[in-house]
Amino acid sequence: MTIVSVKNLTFAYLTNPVLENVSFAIEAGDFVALAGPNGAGKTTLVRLLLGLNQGATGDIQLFGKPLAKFSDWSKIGYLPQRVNKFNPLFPATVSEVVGLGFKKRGPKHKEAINRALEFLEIDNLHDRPVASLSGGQQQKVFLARALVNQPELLILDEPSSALDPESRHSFFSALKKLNQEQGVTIIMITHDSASAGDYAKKLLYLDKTLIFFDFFRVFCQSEEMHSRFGGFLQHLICHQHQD
Amino acid sequence: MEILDFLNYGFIQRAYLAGAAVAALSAILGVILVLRQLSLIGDGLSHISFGALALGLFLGIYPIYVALPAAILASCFIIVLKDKAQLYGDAAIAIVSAVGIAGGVILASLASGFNVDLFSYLFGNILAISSSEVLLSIIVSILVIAIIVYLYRDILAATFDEELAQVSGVKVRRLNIILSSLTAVSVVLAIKVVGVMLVSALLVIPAVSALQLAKSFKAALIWALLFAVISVLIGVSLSFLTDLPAGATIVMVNFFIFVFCWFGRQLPKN
Repeated sequence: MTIVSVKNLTFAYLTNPVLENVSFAIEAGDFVALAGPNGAGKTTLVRLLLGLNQGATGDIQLFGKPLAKFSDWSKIGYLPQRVNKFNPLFPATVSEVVGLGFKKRGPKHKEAINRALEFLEIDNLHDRPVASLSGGQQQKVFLARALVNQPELLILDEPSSALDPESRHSFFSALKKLNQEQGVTIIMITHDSASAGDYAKKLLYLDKTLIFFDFFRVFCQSEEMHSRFGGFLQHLICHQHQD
Repeated sequence: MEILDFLNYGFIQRAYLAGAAVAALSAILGVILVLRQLSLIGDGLSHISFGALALGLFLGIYPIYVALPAAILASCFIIVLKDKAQLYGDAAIAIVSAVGIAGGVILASLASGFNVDLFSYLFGNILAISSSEVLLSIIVSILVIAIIVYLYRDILAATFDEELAQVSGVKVRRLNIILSSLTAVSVVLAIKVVGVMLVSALLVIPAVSALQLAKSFKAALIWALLFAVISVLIGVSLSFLTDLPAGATIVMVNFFIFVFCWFGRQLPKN
């Protein structure tokens, strides 16, 4: 089943082109690393998929429905690249923040919050103010918030930027578990090509236009890609995919 | 216990009732506005209300009947300016605020006969509130608080992060218009309590005091409500006993509560 379908997507901020004629399709169960240099349009692409930016031409479909008609947002979990911008004066407990994404009231609400916290092994933080947590713990709380509806598609924007190496390992292990055991489709913007190579199955490389979208294995075996990226990117991500 | 005899006066009881209802409503909305960095919207809407009150007096219509729709329209206009004209929220509020004051001053200079009435709205007069105004304040406050309770989860989500709320399916734009309109209603009601000049204090100070202590959003709402009601009860009583203006006394009590909470927050935890 196609979860995300993008056809001929073009977008510009005023007169600055950001995306040009981008087309790809993401299938159920994919774990896609979205990579590219700064300013390549990665975050813009994700924001367009979520309807947060307007004014693009082309076609976006989510779960088989045109974006304009898509309304079942509980199928999508989103972790933005803004944990560091969290307002430390906001008085919210972990359970309040995680519960924000869950619409239903009553016991199911508490159940959903506890399930998300337990999955990420942070149920001990339940009543702690979010502002009192470390960056890594806050990142997990925001991930729990994205998971509270048990989404079918999880979109993450540079999730590892606030994490130390130990937290990073447990964070990506949780993502791998979600993808492999629960079949959650994941799109992850990342500059961390080592983690991308370790955990993601496919690479979507963007630099205003789509340069590569396929399995890492295909990328690593492509002579064109070898010559194009000069060895740096391949060295980091291809060691996992040289079968 | 002669000192407490004033509690038997009808106008004091009416002031307690109306003041507590409006202050509670303002404080709850205030927490939301402060966290969304829209603290000054109370000033903007009270200034536009000033112009509308002047228009009502100029046309011989009960001023609140003109101020209420004008404040609601102005609140929607602020949202439109912010979203469509891509202005910063405080710049949009500043425009509406300036136009409101300018309009009021022009109308006041055109018809000098009602200046005394108009200036009574500037500083409020809760001790002169009528029984029908008390009833109106209580009913409207209960209605608005009920709407906030009903929309609680969406409000919390959008206050925490508008974009995340939007991705969770919250109709953020519609919610913003509802919240602005409720704020407009609260501002117009609060004009009678503390006057145009001090309305924003009733919105902002209890909220900021509550944020010094609260560890959760729900606790912030409850603390703000408590502080607002206490400030009205103490303020009205002090005003009567010391012959000070009621609105200004309520605001000063609020300020002392804030100072107390701020110092409380600075104390070592252990």
